[in-house]
Amino acid sequence: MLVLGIETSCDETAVALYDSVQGLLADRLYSQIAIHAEYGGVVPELAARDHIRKLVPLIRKSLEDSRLGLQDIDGVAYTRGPGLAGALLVGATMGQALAFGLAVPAVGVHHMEGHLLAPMLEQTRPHFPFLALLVSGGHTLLVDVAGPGEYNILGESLDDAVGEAFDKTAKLLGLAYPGGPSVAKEAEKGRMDRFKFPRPMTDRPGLDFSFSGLKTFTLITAREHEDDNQQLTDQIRADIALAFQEAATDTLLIKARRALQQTGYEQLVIAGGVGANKSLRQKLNEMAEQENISVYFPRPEFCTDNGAMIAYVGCLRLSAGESEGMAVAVKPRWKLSDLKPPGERKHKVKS
Amino acid sequence: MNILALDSSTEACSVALLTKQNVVEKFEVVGRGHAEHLLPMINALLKENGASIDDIGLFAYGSGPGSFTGLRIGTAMMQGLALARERKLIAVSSLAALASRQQGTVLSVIDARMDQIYHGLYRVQKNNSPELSGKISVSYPDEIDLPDSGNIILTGTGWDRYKDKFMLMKSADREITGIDNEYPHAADIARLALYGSGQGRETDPANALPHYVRNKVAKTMAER
Repeated sequence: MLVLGIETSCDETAVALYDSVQGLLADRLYSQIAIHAEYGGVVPELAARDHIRKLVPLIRKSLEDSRLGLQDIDGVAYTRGPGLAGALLVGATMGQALAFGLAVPAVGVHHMEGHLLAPMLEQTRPHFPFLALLVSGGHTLLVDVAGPGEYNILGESLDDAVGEAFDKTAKLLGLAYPGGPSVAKEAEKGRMDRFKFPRPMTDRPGLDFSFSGLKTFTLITAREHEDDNQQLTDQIRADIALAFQEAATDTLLIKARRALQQTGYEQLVIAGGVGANKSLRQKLNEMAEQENISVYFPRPEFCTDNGAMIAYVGCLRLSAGESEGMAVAVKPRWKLSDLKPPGERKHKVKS
Repeated sequence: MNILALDSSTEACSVALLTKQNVVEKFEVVGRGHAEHLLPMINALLKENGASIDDIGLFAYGSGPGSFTGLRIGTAMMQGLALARERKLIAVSSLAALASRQQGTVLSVIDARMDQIYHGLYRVQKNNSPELSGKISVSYPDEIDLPDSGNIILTGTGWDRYKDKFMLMKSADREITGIDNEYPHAADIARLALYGSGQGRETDPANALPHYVRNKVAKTMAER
């Protein structure tokens, strides 16, 4: 079964073709980072306006890449949520229209399920069950992945997502958007023991996270070290970036280790954009060695938003007989734990 | 050539099928429910008229201006259908579609929120495509330049919302006639698309976009 996957939940327009036998055949992405940079964050209306410009050309390029035609498509998958409503609607409407025009089924996919199962697109893949640490601009989750569609949230952020904390830290230090890569780059020049930031909620049991206090601590530290013109020296800026990154990644590490001990699982999968952070990767690799577990990092382009993961999950669900009715309905808020294994969802077709 | 048309620029949602014989339309006021209603309406329209999506030679959409989200749902729907069927698309102004339901001097007005309206002034003759004078723009109702004399017909959601303000624009030489509860209709989009295709205005699905008119939607960090 050849599935076209469409992802438009935030600021990347992505299209991929996944075949149940041949695997991933095309994976195209257009990033809107440049558009949103001068606004200091994603502007939902501008994101939606750009998706509708880029989607048709990306679908055509994906078909060209795989030397396939529209008539070869057996099903269409699109991100149904969670995400920005206006952005989601572009991909969902396009997906449903294409499926109707091609007389094939369409299925709406949970964006975070895409991230959780993205490692299954790699040659070396984990086997179920495993623990997933999902870290992005919108989410910080520790998930017990028993099987496809069987997700138990073990811990999550009670306030800001870790990626959001990176973005806000970048903003207050005057670094470029998106914050993840720019804070990491700045941290390379920092001195390790100049500042010590708190590791929030690690001193008590449980697997939940909180990053808003760390963000405030970073802000206060920066204010205290500004000169009379409210400027930081380059060295202090780098020191703060490093102290923040150390605190954030240590916190993720401590909770991931705790979740592994609690579940007894021996495999840890990292997903989401913050998974690209080198310091985090290094710490998790060291832990994996100490604890004798396997840690799986999908390649960076599968960590961030992509169409491949949507096409993959869509293929699982379409193959199991799932499909949507004709009414297009996105879910900007949608809990992972509401999902069911492929084929178990009983869809009520409206009208 | 059969044309499938839609308009989703306002609270109304409509789809129409134009064949050699006639135009048939489905029309509903759905508020913000365009995504939910459009494809079921298209499917029902085709079925009831014994047609299939393969029979469509041209896809037409009301390109706005109007609700940003509504416009994108309508545009993405037609992009997807045209792409799948390897057909062309044609954009028709939703303001022109409104004007085409009247005859004479027509000011089409669609609510733009933030106390503003989208508007276009048209001369409409029987059996002809409305002729735009000046350009389509967005402004406060009292900033619109109306012709000094004659009867001006106001139509669209902007009239319903700002009736009182428009009535103040009446003068000894200028008559104002408002049409209540009027929306752009897909049947008119289909008819105007037929004129448009005669003039070679079809485009590839990749180039078919909404006509937002209001393009400043956020402040940059520098502007803040």
